Amino acid sequence: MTLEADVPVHLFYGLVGATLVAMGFVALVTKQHVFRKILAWNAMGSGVFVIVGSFAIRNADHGAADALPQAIVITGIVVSVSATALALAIARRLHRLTGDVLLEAGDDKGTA
Amino acid sequence: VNVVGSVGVYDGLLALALLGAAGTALFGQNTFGSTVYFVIYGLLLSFVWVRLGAPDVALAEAAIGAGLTGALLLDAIHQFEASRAPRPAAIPLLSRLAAVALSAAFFAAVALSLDGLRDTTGGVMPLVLENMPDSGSSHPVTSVLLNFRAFDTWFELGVLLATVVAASSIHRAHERRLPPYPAPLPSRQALMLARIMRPILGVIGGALVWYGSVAPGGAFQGGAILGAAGILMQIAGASPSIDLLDPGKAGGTRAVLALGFGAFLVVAGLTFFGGNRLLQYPAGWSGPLILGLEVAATLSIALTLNLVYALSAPRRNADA
Repeated sequence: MTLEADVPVHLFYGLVGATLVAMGFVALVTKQHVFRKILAWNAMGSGVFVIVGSFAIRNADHGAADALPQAIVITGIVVSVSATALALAIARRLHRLTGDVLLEAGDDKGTA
Repeated sequence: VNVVGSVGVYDGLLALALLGAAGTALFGQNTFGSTVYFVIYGLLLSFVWVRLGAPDVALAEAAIGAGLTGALLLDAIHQFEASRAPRPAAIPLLSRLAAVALSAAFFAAVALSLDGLRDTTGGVMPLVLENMPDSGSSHPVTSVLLNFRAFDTWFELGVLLATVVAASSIHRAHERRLPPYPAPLPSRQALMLARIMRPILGVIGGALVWYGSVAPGGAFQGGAILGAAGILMQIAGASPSIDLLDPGKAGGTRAVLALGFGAFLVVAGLTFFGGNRLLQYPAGWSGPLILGLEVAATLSIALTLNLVYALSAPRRNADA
């Protein structure tokens, strides 16, 4: 079932991870809904994890992925869910204070 | 898992589905749809981790990345839905173009450097395998997480602790003065499902921790499953976990929240002042120490994730 494309698996998934980071960054800048920004930030984070994960198999001649990048990614996933939860708590506070969920350029809601 | 080989049809389809789900989540019109696609994206991502030969990460991604993050997001979307309709876009075209250009540059940089990384020395895996017999665990990832780089895990528990402290501070400073969100109507069916699932999730979570020293799994995956059991109960309308922060219960809650970080702190102090290096376990003690630290970490992680969910949408029953 392989196409025998001359692309190593680690390179392929490294590029998939880079695409996720790039998509996430564009959404982070161009989307104004704070909820969408949180999604974008998460997508960027998981893209970085996939890139790190692709490092884990670039030496996998012995058939096993390197344990160190895996451990780092597991740590990262837990940290990113913590960050997401905190971001949502802050977003909810913003919403309750201002009734708004948009972050705009030159916004000075904090002083209003 | 054979992780060596060329890219096949499976990889192409998986990448296409993954990027499609991410694109819909990030750029779709409907916010609720975005959230659903983001959860799908998380689940597809765990297939990527299996393909990359990392079942531990796949479990963590499915339980935490897709499951827990999904629960948090789906819950938050309800609160945001009532808000005003989005105003016309105010992001200048120049900013949009700059974002696209920067992203393209990043992609190119990664593509070029990844190809350069193709042939390197053997990585750290040989070192891990060489030292694993003395590590107290026969699973490489667990050896790294709880022995070779235990300080990573220690500080990560610190991050979790800081998160729950920060979330409850926001709650304390602000939310208490506002009327709580209405509690979900208790549904008998949902509550029954949650009650059936609770012991099953308890067994799965416990098994993930217990077998974590010999197979994929461990404190994070197990703790997330146990935390999910509590979240399920809250969704079904059982008594909200936010009550655990009430005076009278807060002492015990704080003790469990700090248990994981505290256990690492004690072991770090004992090893450091006992003549070893920081978190260098004495010979023969690695196995029991790892198990003890994992159990402590699991309890803290489960309660932290549960409370963080409760704090992200604090609600009390009407009669409370």
